[in-house]
Amino acid sequence: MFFLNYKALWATLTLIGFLGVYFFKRRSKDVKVSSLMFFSALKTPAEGGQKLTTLQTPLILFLELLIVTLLILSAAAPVMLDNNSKIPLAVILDDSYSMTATAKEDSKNARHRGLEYLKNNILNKQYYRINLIKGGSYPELIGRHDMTGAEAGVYLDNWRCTSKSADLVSAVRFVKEAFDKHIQVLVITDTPAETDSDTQMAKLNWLAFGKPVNNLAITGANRYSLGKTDRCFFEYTNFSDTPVNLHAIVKSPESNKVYDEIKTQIQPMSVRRSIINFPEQNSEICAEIFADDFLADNKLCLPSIKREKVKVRIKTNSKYLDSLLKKTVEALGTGVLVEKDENILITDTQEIIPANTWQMVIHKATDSVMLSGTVAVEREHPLCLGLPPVRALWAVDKNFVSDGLPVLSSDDFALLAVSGEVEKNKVVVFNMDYEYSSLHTTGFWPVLFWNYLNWYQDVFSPVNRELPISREESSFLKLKSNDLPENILPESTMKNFISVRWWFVVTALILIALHQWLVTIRRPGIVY
Amino acid sequence: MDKNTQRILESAKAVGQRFVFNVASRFASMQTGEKYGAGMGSSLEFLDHREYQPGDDIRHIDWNALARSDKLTVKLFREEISPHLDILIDGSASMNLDDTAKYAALMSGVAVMRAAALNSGYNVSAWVIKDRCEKIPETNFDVERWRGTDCVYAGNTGKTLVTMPPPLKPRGVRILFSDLFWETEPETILRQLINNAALVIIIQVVAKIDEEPDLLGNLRLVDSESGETLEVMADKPIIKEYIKNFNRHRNYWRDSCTKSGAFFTHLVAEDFIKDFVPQELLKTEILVAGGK
Repeated sequence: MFFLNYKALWATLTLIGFLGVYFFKRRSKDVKVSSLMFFSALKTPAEGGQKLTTLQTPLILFLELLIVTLLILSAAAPVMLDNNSKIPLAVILDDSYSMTATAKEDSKNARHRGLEYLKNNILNKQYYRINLIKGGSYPELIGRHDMTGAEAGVYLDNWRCTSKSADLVSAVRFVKEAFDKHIQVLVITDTPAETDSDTQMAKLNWLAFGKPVNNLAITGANRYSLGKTDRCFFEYTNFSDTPVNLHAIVKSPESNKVYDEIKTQIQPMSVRRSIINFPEQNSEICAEIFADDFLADNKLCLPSIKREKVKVRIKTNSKYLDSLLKKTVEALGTGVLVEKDENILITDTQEIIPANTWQMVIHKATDSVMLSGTVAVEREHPLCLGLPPVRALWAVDKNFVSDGLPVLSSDDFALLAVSGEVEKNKVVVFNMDYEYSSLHTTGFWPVLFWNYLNWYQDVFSPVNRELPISREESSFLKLKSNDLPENILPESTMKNFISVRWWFVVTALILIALHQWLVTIRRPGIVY
Repeated sequence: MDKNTQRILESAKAVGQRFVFNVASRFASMQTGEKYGAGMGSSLEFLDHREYQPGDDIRHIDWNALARSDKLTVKLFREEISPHLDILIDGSASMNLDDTAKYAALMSGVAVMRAAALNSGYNVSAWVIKDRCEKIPETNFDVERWRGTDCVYAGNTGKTLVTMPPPLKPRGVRILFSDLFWETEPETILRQLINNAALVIIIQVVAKIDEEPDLLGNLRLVDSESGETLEVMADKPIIKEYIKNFNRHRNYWRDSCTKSGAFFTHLVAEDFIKDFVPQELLKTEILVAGGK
């Protein structure tokens, strides 16, 4: 059993007043009378008087307190709910940095306010089955399904708001697809919903807890080589409604050498860019801005653009293939052939390899067929970036089955499949019978291998550091709060509850009758 | 006795002097006394003539007058009475209830009766009932000079009247001033008072608060005599029940008096001290106007 209207429980404070009144009421006034003989025929009511200290009065007092308490509890709308009829609720938590933006005059940010709301209005209700979804760049379930408020409270600590951006609409879609269709959705974010069909559903409550905050941010950075010279580019943006003074320093943390220092004023919503040229070097270059309260977008470091070549070992059973692969690696310029301690092993037979080593397996069919028809390409995958159309002979194994992700495929079989973990043992299986294929004679071949080696370099020695926060996320002026409902449940949900108010009312009425009887009963009168 | 009460008693005495007792003609037992009453009687002292009316004693026909005037004329003689008044004052503390005019009304009533009695040629004796009945020696003086009338006794004076009655004069008039707040049976007391008395008058003196208590709220009632306390949450039903008990008690006394041949009346203190006129005694002509 629980109460829908917890605010009514504040009325229990009246019990203190009740006791106070009772205390004062019991202080009787002395009145001298000629004789008590006519009063002695009367019952002494239990209320008041110094007999409060005796056992008689507390019974009446107790009854009165009990009656008032019961009436207060009935006013708090007591309801019953069994486990099966608990209401499923998905709470989508905006995980972007902007949730942590704190105004100078405020000690709380949107995340604090959202947590507070959840604790006061959701987690303390026993009638929810709570599912927490972290809404970052992609939705992610926190904890397990259908948690109680107490369990969800523990998992809320994992809500750190460190995502570069938050795609809440995707998160809503994810909830709609992955959960029960009756689920209530609660979005905790910092900006009111834009008009969107995904945010207009009946069971969705979009609660924004944001407040506009001024911010100065590094919104762009890049580093590239001009031969013997490196060039860095930084962009600073004033996301404020007033001009601000920008003080930024670009320096090498290794040598502590300052390459640039900017002291200037930036107009509201304006951008200041700086370009620095310096001799080629291996150390990273960092830009930092000062005197800004939101720290996450105040510093950015760009690593060296000089990359180490990828060590490639080639081990095949075919001299032809061996030779072909060696020429390819040498021609790319991003790899170097080694006999041991390789980064990448290219082979025609899959082997067990050490950690942090990748492997490409050239799969040769025993009964290959020539590829015909269209080739499906996963364009976003690092291996497929810029791949030209296949205009060559490609003999394949039609029965090839791979448990990896096919990034190149045709009909029902994979041409290029990727499995394993990126930073451990990534395995790429290349479905190609080299004896009957002429892929190496087209641009497809070098691009594929260049992508492969480049992918490895990107993973283990990236050139450019991505911005920790997207440009859109750094703008806190759009943050807003909306009206917060006390009860997020639509009326129809109330059908799940069984009101037990009458339990309290009936008990109170019985006690009132008992109280009245105790108060009004008289002693047998003296008949004169 | 404070000066205010003394002034009240002087006023009461003045009112009392306007009345006389009209008792002897109604009660045969009083008509063989040593004083002449205000009415007509059978003494030897001639008073007047008047025409004969059927029922007149033919022994009083004036035959000489019949011879002279040929009219039947009877001689009227002054009545001869034995007039004595015993005043019994309830000396219990309840008769001197704080913040009421009960004591002033009690003593005013005594003063009125004493003055009327003296007007009527009565001898007056007074008794204060406490743990015993104490005779007041100064009855020749005005009431305000009486000693021992301070009502402070914290006991049952009704019981005293039954167990240790005062030596009252036979064939006299006896007046008891009390609030009658006793649990002693009225008949027991009345039996003592009626015995060998010409007339017994019971005057119940009560304060307004006794008759219609204006009490509400949480109260600790203190008995003025015993000091006993009672906690009550006074409300209308309780007061209604009190009044019902009070009236039942008064009616019980009234009925007992009627049965015993005594006369019962009551005075509400606060009303009585406004004019000092005992209305019921006048209505029943026990007191009549005709004093100084």
